[in-house]
Amino acid sequence: MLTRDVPLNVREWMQGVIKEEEINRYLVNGRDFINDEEIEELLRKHRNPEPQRVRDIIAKSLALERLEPEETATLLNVEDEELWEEIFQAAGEVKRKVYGDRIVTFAPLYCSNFCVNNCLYCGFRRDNHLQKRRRLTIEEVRREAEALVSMGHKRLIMVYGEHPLSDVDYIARTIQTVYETKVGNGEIRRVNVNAAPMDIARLRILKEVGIGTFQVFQETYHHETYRKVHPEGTLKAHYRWRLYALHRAQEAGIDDVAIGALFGLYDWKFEVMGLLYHTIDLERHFGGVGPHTISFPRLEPAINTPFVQETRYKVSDRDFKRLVAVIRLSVPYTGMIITAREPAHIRREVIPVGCTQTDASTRIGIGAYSDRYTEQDLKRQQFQIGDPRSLDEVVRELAEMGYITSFCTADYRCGRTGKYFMGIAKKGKIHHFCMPNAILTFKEYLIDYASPETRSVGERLIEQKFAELDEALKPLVREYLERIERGERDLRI
Amino acid sequence: MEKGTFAFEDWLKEIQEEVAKRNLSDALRTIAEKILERYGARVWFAEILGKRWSYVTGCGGEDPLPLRQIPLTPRFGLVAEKWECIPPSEGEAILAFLRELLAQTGTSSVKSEG
Repeated sequence: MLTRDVPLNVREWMQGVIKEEEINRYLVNGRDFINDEEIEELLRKHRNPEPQRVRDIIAKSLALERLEPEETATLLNVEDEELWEEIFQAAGEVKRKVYGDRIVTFAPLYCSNFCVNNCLYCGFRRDNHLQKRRRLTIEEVRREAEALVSMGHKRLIMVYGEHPLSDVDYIARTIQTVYETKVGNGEIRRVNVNAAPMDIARLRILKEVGIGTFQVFQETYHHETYRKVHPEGTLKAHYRWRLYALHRAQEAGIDDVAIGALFGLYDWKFEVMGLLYHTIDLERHFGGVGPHTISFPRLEPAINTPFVQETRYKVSDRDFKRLVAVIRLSVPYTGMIITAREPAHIRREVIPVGCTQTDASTRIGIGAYSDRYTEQDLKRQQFQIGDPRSLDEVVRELAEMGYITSFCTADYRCGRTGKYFMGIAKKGKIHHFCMPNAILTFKEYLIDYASPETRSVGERLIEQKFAELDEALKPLVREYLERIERGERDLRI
Repeated sequence: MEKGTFAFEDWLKEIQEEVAKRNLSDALRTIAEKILERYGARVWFAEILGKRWSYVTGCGGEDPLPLRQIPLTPRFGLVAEKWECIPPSEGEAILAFLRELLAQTGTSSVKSEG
């Protein structure tokens, strides 16, 4: 049981959430950093770009420089298929240059689907009476964590609806519970959080429990669309409270923040521009520290949610790959997350053009891991996922594609966060740390959790990637690999 | 004075006097710079928040090396590369000075560089 009482009056609770003074200090002449007209104009102005102009922009990305809005607008307007192929190749090259051939893997843990908001596209929306509401108890959170640790996960994203039943105190308690959970050699080493925007005082509570990344998606950056899909009178209707959520997180001392847009609400090109402007504004205010990751989920079906079928902005598979590649080139040094919303064949197609993280063994029903049901149950899910494969299957497939699955959390546990992390990433040097640590954590996984087939493929890949390491590093990594084989765990550099 | 010939006690005293006038973040940054200059060891400081060691300031490197993580107080820790370059007795004295400096801060948070 939780130790504190849940406020009985939801409306009263809602009135205490938004702090206008924590928004206004970021506005310039009363405006936020998304200028819809300017974005539309840039997209109009840079239609039919010259191939040489596109290649110059690609070259800038390959030098790991962040693009300016007019440059991203130019890439978004490319029509020529051959130029797109060049963009895809460059995006993959940027990814390899910054992060190497490794994919960080995590699992989502949905803790509560109570929500005060009423977003038209969301299965958790307040008025969706077909949604079965549930908030995990602390003991249930522990069981979920045990199930995930037993699969081999080391990193979670914990997800909460916006409601007094899942307020910051509940969030903090559930995170602490996950961190305390151990099964054999296994434990969760990093908990990232996807939750509603909060004020700085509440964000400091999250900081104190040692969260990894704080993630808030703007959903859509287009003001008018935002207003339409988030009904008036709800907390989420406040565009700017959400837009500056991660500025407040940075102010609270949470220096790993994550942005995202829900593709399918408005024009995908506009949303990519919005993500870039968001990145630029965070970098401008916080000494060059922009988002740690960028997410680009597509709208997926949800129970009793006709909006999803009716939207005219659905993103095709072709455009999805394009938008991922353009984000990769626009912000070369930032992590990019593709999730199990996407079916396996799309993940296979899109990971090579720039993704650095993905989830596996994904269950998004409340209590779905410990209840051990295998079919998706839309009555307790926010949306339908496209790739429910097990962690072992995903790890094996990634290994067959040449990617080491990384369970590494080293940076976050040795003070390489925020400005330090971003400084290394921007110079394209983060893979010097990532690849050795990816190999070491992959080795742990293969020994402790993998099927014989996955272990066989994985061991071959480790030898291949080991051979590609700097000579100076090999003795240390070899020593650590041998120590892991002898039973030591959590060795890192 | 040439590098390495400055008596350790004088060197430490000079740092103590220099950082006394600074805020904690600047003081830690200065100490990290002085350690790098004298010993070639890279150190950075972090707030300890459960499993997270959250960067505050320092002179961290860009090459992967074995790390040594040293909790200084319940709230703050030091991460070091090539800490072994510092003679043990001098390393202990530096840590004692850092613990004393950080004890004044208690469990308060420190704004990181940025």
